[in-house]
Amino acid sequence: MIHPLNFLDVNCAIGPYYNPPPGHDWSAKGLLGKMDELGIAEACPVALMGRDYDPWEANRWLVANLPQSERLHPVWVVATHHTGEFPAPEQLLAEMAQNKVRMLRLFLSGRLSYLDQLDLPLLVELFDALDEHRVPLLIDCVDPLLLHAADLEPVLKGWPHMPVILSIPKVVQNERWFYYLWERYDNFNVDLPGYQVLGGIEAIVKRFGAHRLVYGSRYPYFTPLQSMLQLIYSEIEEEDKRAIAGDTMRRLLAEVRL
Amino acid sequence: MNAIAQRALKGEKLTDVLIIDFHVHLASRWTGMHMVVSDPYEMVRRALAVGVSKLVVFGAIQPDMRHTNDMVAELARRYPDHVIGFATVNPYQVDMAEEVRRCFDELGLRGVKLHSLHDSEHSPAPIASYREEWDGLFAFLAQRKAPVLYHGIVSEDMIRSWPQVPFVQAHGVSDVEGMRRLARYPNYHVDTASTQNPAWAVSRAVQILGPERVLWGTDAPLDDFAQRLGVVLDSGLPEAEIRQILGLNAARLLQLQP
Repeated sequence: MIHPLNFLDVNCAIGPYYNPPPGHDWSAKGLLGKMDELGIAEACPVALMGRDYDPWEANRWLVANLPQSERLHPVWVVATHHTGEFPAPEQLLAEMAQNKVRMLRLFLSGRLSYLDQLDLPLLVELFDALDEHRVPLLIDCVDPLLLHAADLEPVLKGWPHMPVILSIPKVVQNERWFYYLWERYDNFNVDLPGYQVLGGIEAIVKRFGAHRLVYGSRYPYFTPLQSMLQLIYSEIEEEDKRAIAGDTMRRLLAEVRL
Repeated sequence: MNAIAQRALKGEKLTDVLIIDFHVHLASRWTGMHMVVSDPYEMVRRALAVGVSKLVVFGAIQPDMRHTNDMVAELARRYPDHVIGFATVNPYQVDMAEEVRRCFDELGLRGVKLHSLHDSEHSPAPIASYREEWDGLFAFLAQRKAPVLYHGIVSEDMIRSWPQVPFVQAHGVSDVEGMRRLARYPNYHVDTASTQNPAWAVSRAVQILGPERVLWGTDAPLDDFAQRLGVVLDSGLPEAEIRQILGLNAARLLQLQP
Protein backbone atom coordinates (compact mmCIF):
# COMPACT_ATOMS: atom_id res chain seq x y z
CA MET A 1 0.00 0.00 0.00
CA ILE A 2 1.29 3.45 -0.90
CA HIS A 3 2.13 5.63 2.10
CA PRO A 4 -0.27 8.57 2.53
CA LEU A 5 2.58 11.09 2.21
CA ASN A 6 3.06 9.85 -1.38
CA PHE A 7 6.84 9.53 -1.32
CA LEU A 8 8.92 10.06 -4.43
CA ASP A 9 12.53 8.98 -3.93
CA VAL A 10 14.77 11.44 -5.74
CA ASN A 11 18.04 9.76 -4.74
CA CYS A 12 18.33 6.06 -5.44
CA ALA A 13 20.45 3.86 -7.66
CA ILE A 14 20.36 0.48 -9.32
CA GLY A 15 22.67 -1.59 -11.47
CA PRO A 16 25.95 -3.39 -11.00
CA TYR A 17 28.65 -1.65 -9.05
CA TYR A 18 32.06 -2.39 -7.59
CA ASN A 19 31.10 -2.67 -3.95
CA PRO A 20 27.35 -3.07 -3.39
CA PRO A 21 26.00 -3.64 0.12
CA PRO A 22 26.07 -7.33 1.09
CA GLY A 23 23.09 -9.30 -0.17
CA HIS A 24 21.77 -6.36 -2.15
CA ASP A 25 19.55 -6.98 -5.19
CA TRP A 26 20.68 -4.23 -7.57
CA SER A 27 18.03 -4.86 -10.19
CA ALA A 28 15.02 -2.64 -10.92
CA LYS A 29 12.93 -5.45 -9.50
CA GLY A 30 14.88 -5.17 -6.25
CA LEU A 31 14.17 -1.44 -6.06
CA LEU A 32 10.48 -1.94 -6.80
CA GLY A 33 10.34 -4.63 -4.12
CA LYS A 34 11.77 -2.25 -1.54
CA MET A 35 9.37 0.50 -2.67
CA ASP A 36 6.42 -1.89 -2.29
CA GLU A 37 7.61 -3.03 1.13
CA LEU A 38 7.79 0.54 2.48
CA GLY A 39 4.96 2.07 0.46
CA ILE A 40 7.06 4.41 -1.69
CA ALA A 41 5.01 5.63 -4.65
CA GLU A 42 7.69 6.65 -7.16
CA ALA A 43 11.43 6.77 -7.55
CA CYS A 44 14.10 8.39 -9.74
CA PRO A 45 16.80 5.72 -10.12
CA VAL A 46 20.20 6.28 -11.68
CA ALA A 47 22.63 3.58 -12.81
CA LEU A 48 25.35 3.64 -10.18
CA MET A 49 28.09 2.49 -12.53
CA GLY A 50 28.00 6.02 -13.93
CA ARG A 51 29.75 7.35 -10.87
CA ASP A 52 33.18 5.81 -11.27
CA TYR A 53 33.01 3.71 -14.42
CA ASP A 54 31.35 5.22 -17.49
CA PRO A 55 28.47 7.74 -17.37
CA TRP A 56 27.21 7.12 -20.89
CA GLU A 57 27.39 3.34 -20.60
CA ALA A 58 25.50 3.66 -17.33
CA ASN A 59 22.76 5.63 -19.06
CA ARG A 60 22.52 3.04 -21.84
CA TRP A 61 22.33 0.31 -19.19
CA LEU A 62 19.46 2.13 -17.52
CA VAL A 63 17.56 2.44 -20.81
CA ALA A 64 17.94 -1.28 -21.40
CA ASN A 65 17.15 -2.44 -17.88
CA LEU A 66 14.58 -0.07 -16.40
CA PRO A 67 11.07 -1.45 -16.95
CA GLN A 68 8.35 0.83 -18.28
CA SER A 69 6.53 1.93 -15.17
CA GLU A 70 4.72 5.08 -14.14
CA ARG A 71 6.47 4.69 -10.79
CA LEU A 72 10.02 4.85 -12.12
CA HIS A 73 11.52 8.02 -13.62
CA PRO A 74 14.96 7.39 -15.09
CA VAL A 75 17.78 9.73 -14.12
CA TRP A 76 20.90 9.94 -16.24
CA VAL A 77 24.42 10.56 -15.09
CA VAL A 78 25.91 13.63 -16.68
CA ALA A 79 29.55 14.26 -17.60
CA THR A 80 31.52 16.76 -19.64
CA HIS A 81 31.55 16.31 -23.41
CA HIS A 82 34.81 17.88 -24.55
CA THR A 83 36.70 14.62 -25.07
CA GLY A 84 33.87 13.00 -27.01
CA GLU A 85 33.24 10.41 -24.28
CA PHE A 86 29.84 11.93 -23.55
CA PRO A 87 27.28 13.60 -25.87
CA ALA A 88 27.34 17.37 -26.28
CA PRO A 89 24.44 19.14 -24.56
CA GLU A 90 22.25 19.44 -27.66
CA GLN A 91 22.53 15.74 -28.44
CA LEU A 92 22.13 14.85 -24.75
CA LEU A 93 18.85 16.76 -24.52
CA ALA A 94 17.56 15.05 -27.65
CA GLU A 95 18.43 11.63 -26.26
CA MET A 96 16.81 12.52 -22.95
CA ALA A 97 13.59 13.50 -24.71
CA GLN A 98 13.61 10.28 -26.69
CA ASN A 99 14.09 8.20 -23.53
CA LYS A 100 11.78 10.25 -21.27
CA VAL A 101 14.60 11.30 -18.98
CA ARG A 102 13.73 14.50 -17.08
CA MET A 103 16.49 14.74 -14.50
CA LEU A 104 20.28 14.46 -14.37
CA ARG A 105 22.77 13.58 -11.70
CA LEU A 106 26.27 14.97 -11.44
CA PHE A 107 28.71 13.02 -9.30
CA LEU A 108 31.51 14.98 -7.66
CA SER A 109 34.02 12.57 -6.27
CA GLY A 110 36.71 14.74 -4.72
CA ARG A 111 39.25 12.43 -6.32
CA LEU A 112 40.40 11.45 -9.75
CA SER A 113 37.26 10.69 -11.75
CA TYR A 114 35.07 12.37 -14.38
CA LEU A 115 34.62 15.44 -12.22
CA ASP A 116 36.57 15.74 -9.02
CA GLN A 117 35.07 19.18 -8.32
CA LEU A 118 32.54 21.65 -9.70
CA ASP A 119 34.77 22.83 -12.52
CA LEU A 120 32.43 25.48 -13.89
CA PRO A 121 34.04 26.36 -17.25
CA LEU A 122 33.54 22.75 -18.34
CA LEU A 123 29.84 22.90 -17.48
CA VAL A 124 28.68 26.21 -18.95
CA GLU A 125 27.23 24.80 -22.18
CA LEU A 126 25.52 21.99 -20.33
CA PHE A 127 24.00 24.30 -17.72
CA ASP A 128 22.80 26.67 -20.46
CA ALA A 129 20.87 23.78 -21.99
CA LEU A 130 19.49 22.51 -18.69
CA ASP A 131 18.40 26.01 -17.68
CA GLU A 132 16.59 26.51 -20.99
CA HIS A 133 14.71 23.24 -20.54
CA ARG A 134 14.31 23.53 -16.72
CA VAL A 135 15.94 20.17 -16.12
CA PRO A 136 16.62 19.44 -12.42
CA LEU A 137 20.22 18.57 -11.56
CA LEU A 138 21.07 16.46 -8.53
CA ILE A 139 24.62 17.23 -7.42
CA ASP A 140 25.90 14.22 -5.53
CA CYS A 141 28.92 15.20 -3.48
CA VAL A 142 30.32 12.53 -1.19
CA ASP A 143 33.05 14.74 0.26
CA PRO A 144 31.47 17.20 2.73
CA LEU A 145 34.35 19.64 2.42
CA LEU A 146 34.42 19.73 -1.37
CA LEU A 147 31.63 22.25 -1.95
CA HIS A 148 31.05 25.66 -0.43
CA ALA A 149 28.82 28.63 -1.17
CA ALA A 150 31.51 30.05 -3.43
CA ASP A 151 31.21 26.99 -5.67
CA LEU A 152 27.44 26.83 -5.88
CA GLU A 153 26.45 30.49 -5.87
CA PRO A 154 27.57 31.12 -9.48
CA VAL A 155 25.54 28.09 -10.58
CA LEU A 156 22.37 29.12 -8.77
CA LYS A 157 22.72 32.74 -9.84
CA GLY A 158 23.76 32.06 -13.43
CA TRP A 159 21.13 29.41 -14.23
CA PRO A 160 18.07 30.31 -12.11
CA HIS A 161 15.70 27.99 -14.02
CA MET A 162 17.81 24.91 -13.40
CA PRO A 163 16.67 23.42 -10.06
CA VAL A 164 19.66 22.17 -8.10
CA ILE A 165 19.23 19.38 -5.57
CA LEU A 166 22.28 19.01 -3.39
CA SER A 167 23.08 15.71 -1.68
CA ILE A 168 26.01 15.54 0.72
CA PRO A 169 25.53 12.36 2.75
CA LYS A 170 28.18 13.17 5.28
CA VAL A 171 27.12 16.70 6.09
CA VAL A 172 27.80 16.99 9.78
CA GLN A 173 26.68 20.43 10.70
CA ASN A 174 29.25 22.29 8.65
CA GLU A 175 26.32 23.50 6.54
CA ARG A 176 26.06 27.13 7.58
CA TRP A 177 26.53 28.04 3.94
CA PHE A 178 23.28 26.24 3.05
CA TYR A 179 21.44 29.03 4.87
CA TYR A 180 23.19 31.70 2.82
CA LEU A 181 22.08 29.98 -0.39
CA TRP A 182 18.54 29.22 0.81
CA GLU A 183 18.09 32.90 1.63
CA ARG A 184 19.05 34.00 -1.86
CA TYR A 185 18.21 31.31 -4.41
CA ASP A 186 14.86 29.63 -5.01
CA ASN A 187 16.48 26.97 -7.14
CA PHE A 188 18.58 25.60 -4.24
CA ASN A 189 17.20 22.39 -2.72
CA VAL A 190 18.71 19.77 -0.42
CA ASP A 191 17.70 16.13 -0.12
CA LEU A 192 17.01 14.46 3.20
CA PRO A 193 19.84 11.91 3.32
CA GLY A 194 22.06 14.96 2.99
CA TYR A 195 20.35 16.60 5.95
CA GLN A 196 19.90 14.16 8.83
CA VAL A 197 20.19 16.88 11.44
CA LEU A 198 18.01 16.71 14.56
CA GLY A 199 15.42 19.49 14.20
CA GLY A 200 16.69 20.35 10.74
CA ILE A 201 13.44 19.81 8.85
CA GLU A 202 11.48 21.99 11.25
CA ALA A 203 14.07 24.76 11.18
CA ILE A 204 14.29 24.90 7.39
CA VAL A 205 10.54 24.69 6.80
CA LYS A 206 9.90 27.48 9.29
CA ARG A 207 12.52 29.78 7.85
CA PHE A 208 12.58 29.02 4.13
CA GLY A 209 9.53 26.87 3.35
CA ALA A 210 8.96 23.17 2.75
CA HIS A 211 9.89 23.38 -0.91
CA ARG A 212 13.60 23.66 -0.04
CA LEU A 213 13.88 20.01 1.07
CA VAL A 214 13.08 16.90 -0.96
CA TYR A 215 12.82 13.27 0.07
CA GLY A 216 15.52 10.92 -1.12
CA SER A 217 16.92 7.73 0.30
CA ARG A 218 20.42 7.16 -1.07
CA TYR A 219 19.30 3.57 -1.67
CA PRO A 220 20.92 1.04 -1.77
CA TYR A 221 23.55 2.30 0.70
CA PHE A 222 20.94 3.68 3.10
CA THR A 223 17.55 2.16 3.71
CA PRO A 224 14.74 4.36 2.39
CA LEU A 225 13.10 3.98 5.80
CA GLN A 226 15.67 6.31 7.44
CA SER A 227 14.60 9.50 5.71
CA MET A 228 10.95 8.41 5.63
CA LEU A 229 10.86 8.23 9.42
CA GLN A 230 12.77 11.51 9.75
CA LEU A 231 9.98 13.19 7.77
CA ILE A 232 7.05 11.23 9.24
CA TYR A 233 8.03 12.13 12.82
CA SER A 234 9.00 15.73 12.02
CA GLU A 235 6.94 18.38 13.77
CA ILE A 236 5.60 20.21 10.70
CA GLU A 237 2.22 20.49 8.99
CA GLU A 238 0.95 17.53 6.96
CA GLU A 239 0.89 19.63 3.80
CA ASP A 240 4.57 20.47 4.27
CA LYS A 241 5.37 16.80 4.80
CA ARG A 242 3.69 15.96 1.52
CA ALA A 243 5.65 18.68 -0.25
CA ILE A 244 8.94 17.27 0.99
CA ALA A 245 7.88 13.65 0.46
CA GLY A 246 7.22 14.14 -3.23
CA ASP A 247 4.96 17.00 -4.29
CA THR A 248 7.80 19.49 -4.82
CA MET A 249 9.78 17.04 -6.91
CA ARG A 250 6.72 16.11 -8.97
CA ARG A 251 6.20 19.80 -9.74
CA LEU A 252 9.83 20.23 -10.77
CA LEU A 253 9.66 17.20 -13.06
CA ALA A 254 6.39 18.45 -14.57
CA GLU A 255 8.02 21.78 -15.42
CA VAL A 256 10.72 20.16 -17.56
CA ARG A 257 10.41 21.18 -21.21
CA LEU A 258 11.99 18.69 -23.58
CA MET B 1 8.64 -5.79 7.33
CA ASN B 2 8.38 -6.19 11.09
CA ALA B 3 5.46 -4.88 13.13
CA ILE B 4 7.49 -2.12 14.81
CA ALA B 5 8.53 -0.67 11.45
CA GLN B 6 4.94 -0.79 10.23
CA ARG B 7 3.84 1.23 13.23
CA ALA B 8 6.71 3.67 12.80
CA LEU B 9 5.59 4.28 9.22
CA LYS B 10 2.27 5.40 10.66
CA GLY B 11 4.08 7.85 12.91
CA GLU B 12 3.03 6.06 16.08
CA LYS B 13 4.87 6.89 19.27
CA LEU B 14 6.57 3.60 20.08
CA THR B 15 5.95 3.67 23.82
CA ASP B 16 5.50 -0.08 24.25
CA VAL B 17 8.96 -0.83 22.82
CA LEU B 18 11.86 -0.27 25.20
CA ILE B 19 14.03 2.18 23.27
CA ILE B 20 17.23 3.36 24.93
CA ASP B 21 19.55 5.68 23.07
CA PHE B 22 23.01 4.75 24.30
CA HIS B 23 24.84 7.60 22.57
CA VAL B 24 23.57 11.12 23.24
CA HIS B 25 25.68 14.20 23.74
CA LEU B 26 24.66 17.00 26.03
CA ALA B 27 23.22 19.43 23.49
CA SER B 28 25.21 22.64 23.28
CA ARG B 29 27.72 24.22 20.97
CA TRP B 30 29.74 21.44 19.43
CA THR B 31 33.38 21.90 18.45
CA GLY B 32 32.47 24.63 15.99
CA MET B 33 29.70 22.71 14.27
CA HIS B 34 26.26 24.19 13.71
CA MET B 35 23.66 22.66 16.05
CA VAL B 36 20.01 23.24 15.19
CA VAL B 37 18.96 21.84 18.58
CA SER B 38 21.47 23.12 21.13
CA ASP B 39 19.10 23.08 24.11
CA PRO B 40 19.32 19.77 26.02
CA TYR B 41 15.74 20.03 27.26
CA GLU B 42 14.44 20.45 23.72
CA MET B 43 16.56 17.48 22.67
CA VAL B 44 15.01 15.26 25.37
CA ARG B 45 11.51 16.45 24.44
CA ARG B 46 12.09 15.44 20.83
CA ALA B 47 13.37 11.99 21.83
CA LEU B 48 10.36 11.32 24.03
CA ALA B 49 8.00 12.45 21.24
CA VAL B 50 9.29 9.66 19.02
CA GLY B 51 9.04 7.05 21.77
CA VAL B 52 12.63 6.90 22.99
CA SER B 53 12.15 6.13 26.67
CA LYS B 54 15.69 6.61 27.99
CA LEU B 55 18.77 8.50 26.85
CA VAL B 56 22.36 7.94 27.94
CA VAL B 57 23.68 11.50 28.00
CA PHE B 58 27.25 12.69 28.42
CA GLY B 59 29.43 15.66 27.60
CA ALA B 60 32.66 14.89 25.76
CA ILE B 61 32.43 17.75 23.29
CA GLN B 62 32.55 20.62 25.75
CA PRO B 63 35.92 21.97 26.85
CA ASP B 64 35.34 21.98 30.63
CA MET B 65 34.67 18.39 31.64
CA ARG B 66 33.93 18.90 35.31
CA HIS B 67 31.40 21.64 34.59
CA THR B 68 29.86 19.50 31.83
CA ASN B 69 29.44 16.55 34.18
CA ASP B 70 27.55 18.89 36.51
CA MET B 71 25.29 19.90 33.61
CA VAL B 72 24.64 16.27 32.69
CA ALA B 73 23.69 15.58 36.29
CA GLU B 74 21.31 18.53 36.25
CA LEU B 75 19.59 17.16 33.14
CA ALA B 76 19.32 13.70 34.73
CA ARG B 77 17.78 15.25 37.84
CA ARG B 78 15.24 17.03 35.66
CA TYR B 79 14.31 13.79 33.86
CA PRO B 80 14.93 11.01 36.42
CA ASP B 81 12.90 8.47 34.44
CA HIS B 82 14.42 9.27 31.08
CA VAL B 83 18.00 10.53 31.32
CA ILE B 84 20.90 8.39 32.50
CA GLY B 85 23.99 10.51 32.90
CA PHE B 86 27.51 9.35 32.07
CA ALA B 87 30.63 11.12 33.28
CA THR B 88 33.25 12.26 30.82
CA VAL B 89 36.79 12.25 32.13
CA ASN B 90 39.64 14.06 30.53
CA PRO B 91 42.93 13.07 32.21
CA TYR B 92 44.48 16.42 31.35
CA GLN B 93 41.92 18.21 33.50
CA VAL B 94 41.06 15.95 36.41
CA ASP B 95 42.11 12.94 38.43
CA MET B 96 39.99 10.44 36.52
CA ALA B 97 39.22 8.07 39.38
CA GLU B 98 38.39 10.90 41.75
CA GLU B 99 36.16 12.65 39.22
CA VAL B 100 34.28 9.44 38.44
CA ARG B 101 33.78 8.79 42.14
CA ARG B 102 32.37 12.32 42.49
CA CYS B 103 30.13 11.84 39.46
CA PHE B 104 28.76 8.49 40.66
CA ASP B 105 28.44 9.11 44.38
CA GLU B 106 27.58 12.82 44.46
CA LEU B 107 25.92 13.42 41.10
CA GLY B 108 24.26 10.05 40.43
CA LEU B 109 25.91 9.40 37.06
CA ARG B 110 26.12 5.73 36.04
CA GLY B 111 28.77 5.22 33.40
CA VAL B 112 31.74 6.81 31.66
CA LYS B 113 32.40 8.23 28.21
CA LEU B 114 35.97 8.41 26.90
CA HIS B 115 36.65 10.38 23.73
CA SER B 116 39.69 10.70 21.50
CA LEU B 117 38.98 14.42 21.32
CA HIS B 118 40.78 14.60 24.65
CA ASP B 119 43.91 12.96 23.32
CA SER B 120 46.68 15.12 21.96
CA GLU B 121 50.09 14.62 20.51
CA HIS B 122 51.13 17.86 22.17
CA SER B 123 50.59 16.54 25.66
CA PRO B 124 53.47 15.23 27.73
CA ALA B 125 51.74 11.86 28.13
CA PRO B 126 49.30 11.02 25.35
CA ILE B 127 46.37 8.95 26.55
CA ALA B 128 47.25 6.23 24.09
CA SER B 129 50.44 5.63 26.07
CA TYR B 130 48.60 5.22 29.38
CA ARG B 131 48.80 1.89 31.14
CA GLU B 132 48.60 1.92 34.94
CA GLU B 133 47.08 5.41 34.74
CA TRP B 134 43.79 3.68 33.92
CA ASP B 135 43.84 1.33 36.89
CA GLY B 136 42.13 3.59 39.40
CA LEU B 137 39.34 4.42 36.99
CA PHE B 138 38.67 0.87 35.86
CA ALA B 139 38.95 -0.61 39.32
CA PHE B 140 36.17 1.73 40.35
CA LEU B 141 34.04 0.83 37.32
CA ALA B 142 34.65 -2.89 37.82
CA GLN B 143 33.44 -2.63 41.38
CA ARG B 144 30.25 -0.89 40.22
CA LYS B 145 29.96 -3.02 37.04
CA ALA B 146 29.42 0.29 35.25
CA PRO B 147 29.81 0.59 31.47
CA VAL B 148 32.28 2.63 29.43
CA LEU B 149 31.31 4.09 26.07
CA TYR B 150 34.51 4.86 24.20
CA HIS B 151 35.46 6.67 21.03
CA GLY B 152 39.08 5.75 20.35
CA ILE B 153 41.49 5.58 23.31
CA VAL B 154 40.55 2.12 24.64
CA SER B 155 42.89 -0.70 23.72
CA GLU B 156 42.40 -4.47 23.53
CA ASP B 157 44.57 -4.71 26.64
CA MET B 158 42.10 -2.69 28.64
CA ILE B 159 39.10 -4.74 27.48
CA ARG B 160 40.93 -7.96 28.34
CA SER B 161 42.22 -6.70 31.68
CA TRP B 162 38.85 -5.53 33.00
CA PRO B 163 36.31 -8.25 32.16
CA GLN B 164 33.86 -6.95 34.74
CA VAL B 165 33.60 -3.62 32.89
CA PRO B 166 31.24 -3.56 29.88
CA PHE B 167 33.00 -1.69 27.06
CA VAL B 168 30.91 -0.20 24.24
CA GLN B 169 32.73 1.02 21.16
CA ALA B 170 31.03 4.18 19.93
CA HIS B 171 30.06 3.99 16.22
CA GLY B 172 31.50 0.45 16.32
CA VAL B 173 29.09 -1.34 13.97
CA SER B 174 31.20 -0.20 11.02
CA ASP B 175 34.50 -1.36 12.48
CA VAL B 176 34.55 -4.85 10.98
CA GLU B 177 38.19 -5.50 11.78
CA GLY B 178 37.75 -4.34 15.36
CA MET B 179 34.61 -6.39 15.91
CA ARG B 180 36.23 -9.54 14.54
CA ARG B 181 39.31 -9.04 16.69
CA LEU B 182 37.46 -8.20 19.90
CA ALA B 183 34.46 -10.51 19.58
CA ARG B 184 36.23 -13.02 21.84
CA TYR B 185 35.76 -10.70 24.84
CA PRO B 186 32.21 -10.99 26.22
CA ASN B 187 32.45 -7.50 27.71
CA TYR B 188 32.97 -5.90 24.26
CA HIS B 189 29.97 -4.22 22.59
CA VAL B 190 29.33 -1.74 19.78
CA ASP B 191 26.78 1.00 19.16
CA THR B 192 25.08 2.07 15.93
CA ALA B 193 25.65 5.84 16.17
CA SER B 194 26.73 7.93 13.16
CA THR B 195 24.99 9.17 10.04
CA GLN B 196 27.16 6.86 7.99
CA ASN B 197 26.22 3.58 9.64
CA PRO B 198 23.66 1.94 7.34
CA ALA B 199 21.10 -0.76 8.10
CA TRP B 200 23.22 -3.51 6.59
CA ALA B 201 26.10 -2.62 8.93
CA VAL B 202 23.78 -3.33 11.87
CA SER B 203 22.93 -6.82 10.60
CA ARG B 204 26.60 -7.44 9.80
CA ALA B 205 27.54 -6.47 13.38
CA VAL B 206 24.97 -8.95 14.67
CA GLN B 207 26.51 -11.66 12.50
CA ILE B 208 29.90 -10.99 14.10
CA LEU B 209 28.96 -10.27 17.71
CA GLY B 210 25.47 -11.68 18.12
CA PRO B 211 22.36 -9.62 18.84
CA GLU B 212 23.12 -9.16 22.52
CA ARG B 213 26.20 -6.97 21.98
CA VAL B 214 24.86 -4.34 19.58
CA LEU B 215 23.26 -1.23 21.08
CA TRP B 216 21.21 1.49 19.43
CA GLY B 217 22.68 4.99 19.59
CA THR B 218 22.09 8.16 17.60
CA ASP B 219 24.85 10.68 18.30
CA ALA B 220 22.07 13.20 18.97
CA PRO B 221 21.82 16.15 18.76
CA LEU B 222 23.88 15.64 15.62
CA ASP B 223 21.42 13.15 14.19
CA ASP B 224 17.67 12.80 14.15
CA PHE B 225 16.19 10.16 16.48
CA ALA B 226 13.55 8.82 14.08
CA GLN B 227 16.00 8.71 11.20
CA ARG B 228 18.37 6.52 13.18
CA LEU B 229 15.54 4.23 14.31
CA GLY B 230 15.02 3.39 10.65
CA VAL B 231 18.51 1.92 10.46
CA VAL B 232 17.66 -0.79 12.99
CA LEU B 233 14.02 -1.27 11.99
CA ASP B 234 14.97 -2.05 8.37
CA SER B 235 18.06 -4.10 9.18
CA GLY B 236 16.30 -7.33 8.21
CA LEU B 237 16.79 -8.79 11.67
CA PRO B 238 14.02 -10.65 13.52
CA GLU B 239 11.86 -8.47 15.73
CA ALA B 240 13.20 -10.09 18.89
CA GLU B 241 16.75 -9.09 17.95
CA ILE B 242 15.61 -5.59 16.99
CA ARG B 243 14.14 -5.23 20.47
CA GLN B 244 17.44 -6.34 21.99
CA ILE B 245 19.34 -3.72 20.00
CA LEU B 246 16.85 -0.93 20.58
CA GLY B 247 16.80 -1.23 24.35
CA LEU B 248 17.06 -4.59 26.09
CA ASN B 249 20.84 -4.81 25.73
CA ALA B 250 21.31 -1.31 27.10
CA ALA B 251 18.96 -2.06 29.99
CA ARG B 252 21.12 -5.04 30.89
CA LEU B 253 24.37 -3.05 30.82
CA LEU B 254 22.80 -0.24 32.82
CA GLN B 255 21.41 -2.72 35.37
CA LEU B 256 17.91 -1.31 34.95
CA GLN B 257 15.08 -3.11 36.69
CA PRO B 258 12.59 -4.69 34.24
